[in-house]
Amino acid sequence: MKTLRAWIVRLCSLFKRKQQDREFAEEIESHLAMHIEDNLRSGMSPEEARRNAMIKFGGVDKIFEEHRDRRGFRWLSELQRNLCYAARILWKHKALSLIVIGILAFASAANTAVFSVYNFLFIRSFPYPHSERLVYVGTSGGYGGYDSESHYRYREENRSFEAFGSYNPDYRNYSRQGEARTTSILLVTYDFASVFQYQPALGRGFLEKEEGPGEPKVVMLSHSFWQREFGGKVSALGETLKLDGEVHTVVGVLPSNADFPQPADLWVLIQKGQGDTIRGYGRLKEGVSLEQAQQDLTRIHKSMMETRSMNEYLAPPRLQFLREKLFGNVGSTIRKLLIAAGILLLIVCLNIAGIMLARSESRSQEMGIRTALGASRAGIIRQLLTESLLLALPGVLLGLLMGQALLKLIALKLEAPSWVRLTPDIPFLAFCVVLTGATTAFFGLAPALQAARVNVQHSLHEASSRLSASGAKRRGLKMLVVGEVAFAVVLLVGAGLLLRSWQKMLAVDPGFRADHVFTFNIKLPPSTYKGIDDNACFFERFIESLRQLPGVTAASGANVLPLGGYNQFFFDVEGVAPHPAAEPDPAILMRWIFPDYFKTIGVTLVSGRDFNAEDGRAKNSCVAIVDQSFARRYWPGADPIGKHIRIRAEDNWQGQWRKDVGLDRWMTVVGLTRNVAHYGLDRAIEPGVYIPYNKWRSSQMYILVRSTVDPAGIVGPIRSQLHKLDPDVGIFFPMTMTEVVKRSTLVRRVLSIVMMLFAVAALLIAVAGVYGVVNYTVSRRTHEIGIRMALGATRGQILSMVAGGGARLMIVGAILGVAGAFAASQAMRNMLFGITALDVPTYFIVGAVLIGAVAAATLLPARRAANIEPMRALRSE
Amino acid sequence: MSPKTDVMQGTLGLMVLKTLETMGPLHGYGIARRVEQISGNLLSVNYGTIYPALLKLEQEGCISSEWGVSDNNRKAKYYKLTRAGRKQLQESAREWEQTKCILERFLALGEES
Repeated sequence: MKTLRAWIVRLCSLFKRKQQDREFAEEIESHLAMHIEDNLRSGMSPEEARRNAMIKFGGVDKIFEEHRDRRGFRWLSELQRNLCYAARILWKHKALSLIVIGILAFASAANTAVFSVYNFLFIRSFPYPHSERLVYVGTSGGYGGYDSESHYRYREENRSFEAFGSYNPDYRNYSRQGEARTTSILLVTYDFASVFQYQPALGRGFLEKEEGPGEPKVVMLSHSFWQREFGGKVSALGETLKLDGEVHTVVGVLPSNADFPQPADLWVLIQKGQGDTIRGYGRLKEGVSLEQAQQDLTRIHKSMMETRSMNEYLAPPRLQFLREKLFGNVGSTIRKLLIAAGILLLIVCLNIAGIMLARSESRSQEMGIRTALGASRAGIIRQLLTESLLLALPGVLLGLLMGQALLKLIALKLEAPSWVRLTPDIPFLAFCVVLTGATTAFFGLAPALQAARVNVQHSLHEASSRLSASGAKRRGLKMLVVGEVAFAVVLLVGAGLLLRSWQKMLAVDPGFRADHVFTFNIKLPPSTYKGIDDNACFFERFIESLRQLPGVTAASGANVLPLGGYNQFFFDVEGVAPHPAAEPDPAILMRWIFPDYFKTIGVTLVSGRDFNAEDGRAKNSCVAIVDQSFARRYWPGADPIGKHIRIRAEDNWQGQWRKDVGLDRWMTVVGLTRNVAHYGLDRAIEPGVYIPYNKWRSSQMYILVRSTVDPAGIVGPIRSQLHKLDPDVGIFFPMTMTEVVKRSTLVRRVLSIVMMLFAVAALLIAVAGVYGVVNYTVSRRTHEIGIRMALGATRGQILSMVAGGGARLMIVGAILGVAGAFAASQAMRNMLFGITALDVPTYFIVGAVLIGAVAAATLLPARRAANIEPMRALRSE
Repeated sequence: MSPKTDVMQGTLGLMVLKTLETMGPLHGYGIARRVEQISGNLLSVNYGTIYPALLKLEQEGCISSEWGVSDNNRKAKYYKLTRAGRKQLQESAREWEQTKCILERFLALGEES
């Protein structure tokens, strides 16, 4: 208590130092006066009285200092003093300070932005209660899901979850007063909202009894949909709307944050017997591990499958924590970016250290004088570190703001859902504090130690002789520059490899011609279109009507677009034995297509023929078209036309349907096409098969239109054609194929661009470092150069001497950098495409760029050196 | 180190408090004189060192200060004991008493053996 009180008093005294100094001086004066009076009274002479009083008192200055220290906090007042002094020094070198703060801000922006993303992906909890216990339930094998029966069994019999719900994203034709539109929905079980503890913003959530078959169909509106379509009115409750022709009643409105697992306009309740591929989220009970929950659901799955026939078999469940499910595959990428940003910051720090070191050189006299006047080494180090801190703090702060602004912009542009949180939080602030501290220490410590080692005599003497800088200091500077160049080379090579991979990927022939192709998806309401024949009939008529539109050269349809995901089956090939069980046959990509598909999408038919209308209509003709990859795998060197293939029976979960549409029979290969890079331009090509559309049972179909005109111009006519055929059907996902291709390369593009930005910044900073050092050397050696020239050195010799110094730094840095880049590129091998980690052109280009940049950075100051007038240089003494 | 020059801060503080208790409000010079007198010149300190000690006591709230006028009509800063200071004095005195007893017993033991 007493100590605390003393601390507070001392803290307060910081702000009234002058007044307290004065008061204490008065007190001492009165003390001495009284003592002198007493002495006089005891008979001393005035002189002696005074002398005696002074001696008895002790050193006034010393007491004064002690009193002052006691009054406030020594370190605090020193800090205050240091800060004031540092601010004055930095203000005096405004331009330099601004440059330092600027480049530091840039590097900090990169670091804080990347860390924000990293923090969101891997550290920060999700904005749901107990999000660390949220688990995704899918099926092993990656895609697909389980059926609604599984959901009910999981829900009733599990011992691991305190909440469990299932969902499936889908699309519906939506109509409410008038024209049909398309809307995104989330099919959910009644308990899905409880997993995330979403509370309805209005009305109520779904009830368990509403899941019963035959109950009235109910929906909840998303918050934005409610605002958009119902003007945010309470009267929306109880209203009805038609989804795929069926009437649904609005029972509630979702909160605005209910955009996880994905944003949807409407939540539609799954009723018993509906829902074939659904996935789930559950919240684990406290103390239950993921493994226990996995075993729990596997047990239920097993008991369920025992009573099922092979045709109804489902893959076993697979559980993943939320973070793993969402970001498991981007972890290594973001970690690499974090490292790259760190390297950039390191280069910046090296650069600033160089600047500080060079400046401390010009301040060595000041340090000498300070030391001579009794400043301690620690005191000088503290002083210089304060200066560094004063540079680092605004730099990091500015960078933080820039980084946040940038993220906000990106999040806005990508329409990030509300659960993506990139705003600062405690770990983020901690990161910034560490960043500031680390940078300060990094660029401030070396020059501070250097300065504190000042030899008083030497530095004071130097003031008069002003010869070149001390050897240690110059070595320090050179090491910094070598480090900068080396790190810049690492970044440049990394970025170069990524860019080359991107370029290689863009050069990949996708196997189709994306230009001038417009695509969209349509979905027929099952209430109107009952079965394959109705669907096929509608699609045929629709596609035929599109072919009549002006500017359209071809139109067709397919169930999957190129780059559009998985739709795989196992195949038997006549005359080829199936693989042993240990080494399964590859899953074959299968596409149901309409005639003219190849012409529309621009895939070359190598031999044989395209499907015709007859193939589509004939019930019992079974034909297929294979691609070259398929042909090469099963009939290497032979003509595939006329060969027979069949969908393998035992693995097929849709046995009845297979029989219904006649896919259990052997199909005759009638055509051979070129390969299509279906899984991504940078992925391996896998074998694929095409079959006629009439065997496609789903009501969804992608429509493709090749036109000579801009796609934007034909959307209107397409819509009106569709409206003429059926006003209840709308267009989903309208896109050009060019956009599809572009989207598939997005990650690589962003990554390459960000890395390139980092690398270019690193190069610029490193070049500035080289320039700075060479320039500094020239200015320090003006005198020496003058002497050399006076003694007969030619301008050429001076030029090569100075430039040679710069070049040596670059070469050493480059060699170290290339060694580092070798190591780094091994680590990023899985991100490369079409090139090896030792890609010669990349290293060659990086080398050329480096040589050019460093040549520019050294020649300018070298020329300045060569143009020195010897007489003036000597007089400059 | 001779005891004539070295006075531990703690003991000096206690002496100051005791002085103020017996003498009432007093200025720094007076306190310094008094400490010197009482210690029978055995313990001689530079008068100046009294001031950091006074400051410490004041910061801790044991004493308070006020400008006043001395007997000789001179302006001087007077220190006086606060209630907290009185309590502090009692506590410290008791502690010293204890320490003294323990040490005496120890030393007596040493003489016997």
